Amino acid sequence: MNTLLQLQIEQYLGDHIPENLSAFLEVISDSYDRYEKERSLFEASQQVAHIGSWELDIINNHLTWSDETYRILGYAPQSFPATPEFFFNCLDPDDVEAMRLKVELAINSGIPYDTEHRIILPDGTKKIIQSRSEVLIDRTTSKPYRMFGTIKDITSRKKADEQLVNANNELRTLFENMQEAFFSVDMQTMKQLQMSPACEKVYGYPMEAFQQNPNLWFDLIIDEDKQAIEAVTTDLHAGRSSILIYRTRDKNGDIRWLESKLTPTLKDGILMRIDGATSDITKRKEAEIALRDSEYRFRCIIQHSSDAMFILNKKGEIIFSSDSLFRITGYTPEEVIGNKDIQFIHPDYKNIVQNAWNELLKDTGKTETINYKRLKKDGSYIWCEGVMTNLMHEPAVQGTIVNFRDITERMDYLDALRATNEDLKKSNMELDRFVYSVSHDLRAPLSSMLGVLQLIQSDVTDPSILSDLDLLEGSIKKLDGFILDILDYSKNSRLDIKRDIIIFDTIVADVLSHLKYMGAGNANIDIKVNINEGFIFYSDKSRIYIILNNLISNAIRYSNPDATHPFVEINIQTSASGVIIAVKDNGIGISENNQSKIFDIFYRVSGNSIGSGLGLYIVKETVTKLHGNIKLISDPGEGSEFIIYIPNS
Amino acid sequence: MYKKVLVIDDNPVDRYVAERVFKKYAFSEEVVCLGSAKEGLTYLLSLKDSPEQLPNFIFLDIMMPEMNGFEFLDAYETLPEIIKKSCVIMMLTTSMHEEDQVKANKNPYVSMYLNKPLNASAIKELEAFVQK
Repeated sequence: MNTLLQLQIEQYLGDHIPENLSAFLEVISDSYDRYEKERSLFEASQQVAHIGSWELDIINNHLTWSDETYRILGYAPQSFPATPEFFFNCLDPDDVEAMRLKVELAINSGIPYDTEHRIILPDGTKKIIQSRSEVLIDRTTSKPYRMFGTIKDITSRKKADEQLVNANNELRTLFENMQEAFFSVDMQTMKQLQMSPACEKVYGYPMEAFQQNPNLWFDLIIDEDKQAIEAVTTDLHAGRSSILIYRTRDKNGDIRWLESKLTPTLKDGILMRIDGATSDITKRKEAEIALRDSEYRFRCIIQHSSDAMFILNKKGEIIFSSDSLFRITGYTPEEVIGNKDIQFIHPDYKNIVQNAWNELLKDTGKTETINYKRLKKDGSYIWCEGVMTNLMHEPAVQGTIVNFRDITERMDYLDALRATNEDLKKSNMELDRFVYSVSHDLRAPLSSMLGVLQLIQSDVTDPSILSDLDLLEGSIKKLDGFILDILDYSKNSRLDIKRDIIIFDTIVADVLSHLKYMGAGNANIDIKVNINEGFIFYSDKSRIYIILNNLISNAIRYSNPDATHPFVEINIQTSASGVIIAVKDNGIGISENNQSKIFDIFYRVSGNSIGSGLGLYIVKETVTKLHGNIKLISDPGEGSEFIIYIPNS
Repeated sequence: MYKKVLVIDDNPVDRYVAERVFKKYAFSEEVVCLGSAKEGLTYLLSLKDSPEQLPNFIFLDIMMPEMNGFEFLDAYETLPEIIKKSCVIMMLTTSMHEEDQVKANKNPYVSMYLNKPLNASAIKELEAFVQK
């Protein structure tokens, strides 16, 4: 008999157990034993499953917990009597209210619950618990009288769930943000099994479009590239993965470069499905093409340029040569690579090249340009213009770039030009000497004639002879003036422009004294000189002299014989930019008709003119030569004013 | 009136005009006319021991054959001091070459640059210059 049972019976019935009860008790005792056994088995199974159970006698408000319940709550089994309040104390304070409500609802209305809540263990750790309850209702009173339930520690499951959710989320994010579109195609039905959202980025079409038209990916491929797809079909059917690069045309008509990696799945040698990923490689491809094009372009430029190009290492050895070398020197690149560049330089120019090279090596990035003679394969030399650039610091070069071109023709041309120039200078000088000699040889006898004439004039007193002699003297002077004009003209047109400081005071004084000496002076004419030389003026002294001499002599020569107060006014005003010279008279003036013609060569206003017809032409030519301009204001009978502007030279 | 002037000119007409003018306007008692620079040098050298006979003025043409006026001046520089001290040189020329005038003005022995022909106004100019 079960000892516990016997003890209780004895307590209840006293020491004597009636005979009739004894057999019954035997049976019960057995059952109780079995129950006891089952109960311990039950406890053990609870422990394994981490499920605790409890029972509440609602009528007596008596609560019992199973051992595992104690353990789950963090206490030794049966170490104290269980009470509902104790249970609520174990709960996370945030969950107490909700749990009380559920329990009350169950006790009062018999509604069971199945809920999750948190508990806090005595050591402070938190756990998540699943609580379930069942309620027994008295059939007669319809009132709950007993409740029982389970609690289950689901903390670790919950954590695993959370991790799973997080991992899923991460995976989804990854999937959605992938630049590659993933896809699977059933090769039997040709149905699109999967297509990741990135397809919108890659192909420019949303997932739905691919569901509607499983062939869309192929349709998008431009015709020239469709062959490429067909080419890998064999590989795929044989179970070999393939990588395809092809172009598609998107909605906007733009070309996209795509790359697809395809993995076939075979079953019994038959292609069942293809999994793959497609990415947009347009940028990479464009960069590749641009690089290839620019490389090609540069190669073309180098190989077809009329320049040859070397790269020299630190020692001056040729480590690269463009093919164009052959065209220029007759050497192929192979023949020169490894040799020192200096050995191809003409002995007379080795020093120049070596010096430039030494200069060049002092600074990276520096450039030197030199002309020198370079050896051709046939032993002759050509003139070269070479540009050397030190690119030692450029990792891709690590040397000096030398490019040179054949300038032999140019040098020959320059030599010829120089020789011609020398010849020209020489003949110009000869011409100058010639003009000088001729003018002297012409003028010398004239001045002799004049000398003799003036002697006679001083000896005779007969007025008719004197007037004849005056005519003679006038003619001689006219001829002399003409020679001087030609001399001036020749000087202006041939001689280089010199640059002197012009002091107008001196020049005007010289002109006036010369005119007086030449007998061109007229004592009646009032000559007013007004010079303002505040700014220093630079120009060609002899040309300025020619201009002033002609203008002043004209103004004196063509004075108005009827004027009561004939004058010539010379106004000269220098400025920072140049000079304004104005020569004004109240002489006979020039008619409007003649004003445009007076600067023409050999034009003379009237037969009475005593000039050569060269004077104003020379003035105009000289002013033009000095980059200036000339203006005339004149009224017949009133006078003339010539205004000249000449810029500083 | 000066005692003696020397005219060096290859042109006989100019020499004649010079002689006539100097005499007519009473510039000099004696006018020695020589046709070349070389003769001029020889003449001057011949008087180095009797400097009182050296001319007061030398009128020198520029454009002359064989030895021109400037070459004469170069040779003149090498003459004894006594000669150079006694003479004053005037250029008398028809040259319009600017360089000639500049060159003449730079030469320390040249006192004046005169344009031909020699006449009454030239004498006046000359006298005015000499008086200064």
